[in-house]
Amino acid sequence: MPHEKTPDPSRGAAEPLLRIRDLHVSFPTDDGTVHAVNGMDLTLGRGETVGLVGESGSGKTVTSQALMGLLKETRASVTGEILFDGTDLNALDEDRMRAWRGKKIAMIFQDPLSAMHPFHTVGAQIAEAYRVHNKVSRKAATAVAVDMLGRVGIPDPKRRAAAHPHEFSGGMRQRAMIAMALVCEPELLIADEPTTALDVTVQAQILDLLGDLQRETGTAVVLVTHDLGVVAEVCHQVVVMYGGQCVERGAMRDVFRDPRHPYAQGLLASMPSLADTAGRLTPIPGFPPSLTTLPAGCLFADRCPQTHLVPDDLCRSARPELAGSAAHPSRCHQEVHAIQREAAR
Amino acid sequence: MNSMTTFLVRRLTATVGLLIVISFVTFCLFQFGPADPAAAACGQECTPERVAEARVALGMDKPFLTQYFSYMSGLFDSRTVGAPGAQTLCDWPCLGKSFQTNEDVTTIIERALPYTLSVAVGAVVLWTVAGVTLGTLAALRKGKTTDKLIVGAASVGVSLPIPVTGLLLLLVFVSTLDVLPFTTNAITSPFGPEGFDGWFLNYLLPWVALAVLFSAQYIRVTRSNMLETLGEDFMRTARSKGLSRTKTVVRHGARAGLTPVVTMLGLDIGLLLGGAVLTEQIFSVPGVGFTAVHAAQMGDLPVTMAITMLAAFFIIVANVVVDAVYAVIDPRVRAA
Repeated sequence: MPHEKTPDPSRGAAEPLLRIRDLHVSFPTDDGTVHAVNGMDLTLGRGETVGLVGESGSGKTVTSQALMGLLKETRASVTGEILFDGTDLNALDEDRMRAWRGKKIAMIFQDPLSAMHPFHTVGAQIAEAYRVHNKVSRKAATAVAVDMLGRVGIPDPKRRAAAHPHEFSGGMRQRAMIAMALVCEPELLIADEPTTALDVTVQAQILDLLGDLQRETGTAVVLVTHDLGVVAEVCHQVVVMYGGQCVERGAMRDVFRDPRHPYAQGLLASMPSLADTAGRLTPIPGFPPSLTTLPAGCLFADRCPQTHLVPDDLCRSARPELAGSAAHPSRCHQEVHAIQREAAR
Repeated sequence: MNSMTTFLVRRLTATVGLLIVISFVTFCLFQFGPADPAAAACGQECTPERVAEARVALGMDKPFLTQYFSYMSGLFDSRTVGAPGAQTLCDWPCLGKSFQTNEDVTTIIERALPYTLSVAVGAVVLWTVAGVTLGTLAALRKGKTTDKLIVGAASVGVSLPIPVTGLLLLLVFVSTLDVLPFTTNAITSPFGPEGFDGWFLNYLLPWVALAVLFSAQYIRVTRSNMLETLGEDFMRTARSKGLSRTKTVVRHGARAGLTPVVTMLGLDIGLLLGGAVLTEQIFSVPGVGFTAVHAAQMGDLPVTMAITMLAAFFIIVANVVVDAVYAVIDPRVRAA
C-alpha cells in the first residue's frame, strides 16, 4: 500500500535524482539520419518538478522516451549520460532497465484513451502495473488498484475498477492513468503532455492532483509540455528546448521574468495574456529546422530576430554553447559574448 | 453480462429474419432460373405431355407461393412429395427428394456432411496455426530476412490455386513417393475403426492444399494487423509499466491484433462448411461440395437448392458467431 515518503537526508542536495549530460539521440531513416536530440542537459532534484517546454519536434518526447529506456533495442542511437540516482540508464541493459521501468521511473501520456488497452478493465491495467514489480496475488493487486483509484479522486473506485477505459470521461481516464503510473511509487514521473487532450477546467484539476500526489509521495516530475501556462502553475524549474537542445534553463520565476534566449522570449510573447486583451498574439515566424540536415550555426538563427546584434554572422557559422549564469544559462551568442541584450519585451 | 444477453437476443432475431429472406431468394432463383426442373426430371425421350406430367409430379403446377410454403413446411414437419396417386412420404426435416435417386435430400446431405466436416476441421486448425504464427513472427521481425522469407512464401501460396497444389501433392506424395494413401471414402471421423491416425493421414493432403492457400492470406492479415497494433500507444504504456517485450506482445498485442483474424476465420469456416468444392473434387471426397457439383451437373434441383440454402445458413450462422466472439473480445462492441 502506498505511503508517505520522506526524502533521504543522507543523500541531500549534493546528488540530484536525475542528471542528463550531453544526450544525443538520432534515428536512421530512409531520408537520412534524423537528429532528434542534440546535446540535452537537465538536472532534477528529488521531489522537484521540471518543465520541458518546446514546440512539436523540439525533442521533448524523444528525450522522455530515452529516459524510460524505450529506445533500447531499437534503431535509435543514444549517446551521453542519463544519471538516475547515480546510475547511467543509457549504459543499463534491457533487463535491468525493465526492472526499473514502472517501478522507479513511470510515465503518463497525452491521450489516456489510446494509451490504455481498450479491452482490459481499468482496474486490471492498474493491477498489472503493480504485479509486474510486486509478487502478490491478482486479488491483492486489484485491492491496491482500487485503493489507488480512490487516491486519484475517482468516486466509487471499487465499481469503476471493473469498467473499461471507454466508459470513463477524459479527465477520469487521465486520473486512472496517473493511478497506473504511481501505483509502484516511482521516484520519477515523466508526464508527457498530460493535460493537452483535456478541457481547460479538467486540466487544472489534473495538475492539482499531480501536485498533491507529488507532495504526498515525494516523486520528482518531468513535465513535458508546450503550454507555458501549465509550466507556470506547477514547475520549479524550466528547460526550454529547441531543435533537440536545451536552449535555456533556470528557475521558473527567472525564466518567466527574464527570458534570455530569443526563442524563449518569443515563446512567452506568443502566449495569450488576459491583461493585454486588445493586443494580437505574436507568433514566432518560420519553422523549426529540419532534423535531418542541421545548420552549421545556431539552430534558431533562421527564425531569430536578433541575429543582427551578433557580429561576423556568428549565428550562422558557429553553434553556441550554454553560457551565462550557472543558475540560468542560455544557448545564445549574445550570452556567450556578453553582448548587451535588447530589452526582452 | 447483461448487455451481452441483449446483444445476442437482438442478433439472433435478426438472423432468423435473414434466413427466411435467404430461403425465399434461393427458392426464387431456382423457380425462375433458366433450368426447367420438369424437363430435367422427365429424362431422355421427352414429349410435352410427359413434361406436363412431371410438372404435376413436382408440384410445379401450383402457384409459386403455395410451392414455397409447402417446401418450407418440410422444415417443421414431414410432408408428402410427388404426383397425386404416387405420393411418397418425406420425413422431417424434409428438403424434397432427389430427382436422381428419389432419396430424401436430408439423407444425402447427412451422408455428405461428415466428409466436409473432416476436411474443414483439419484445414482450419492447420492454416490458423501456421498463418497466425508466421504472420506474428513476420511482424516482429519486420524488414529482416525472416519477414521477407515469410512474406515471399505467402505471395507464392496465395497465388497457388487448389487444383495446382492438390494435383502436385497427389503427384508427389501419393503417386511418386507413395508415403500417403489415396483418399478413401471409408473414413469419416477420427473416432472410427481406423482411429485418429487413419483419419489424419486420409485427410492430410486436402488439409495441406487448403492450408497453403488460406494460411497465405492469414499471414498477410495477421502481419499487417500486428504491425499496426505494435505501434499503438497502449503497447508503449505496457512497456513503460515494465512488462517485457514478449509479455507485451502476448498479453496486450495478441488480443487487439488478432481480432480481425477472428472475423476472417469465422467467415471462412462458414464458407468451408458449405463445401470445399474444388478440394473435394480433386481429392474425390464425397462431401457437400462434391455432392453439389454432381447434383448440378445432373440437374438434380432439390439437392442443389438444399445445399445452396445450407451454405447460406452456415455463412449467416458464422457471422453471428463472429459478432458474438467480437463482443466478448472487445467490450466497446457490446455498447454499440
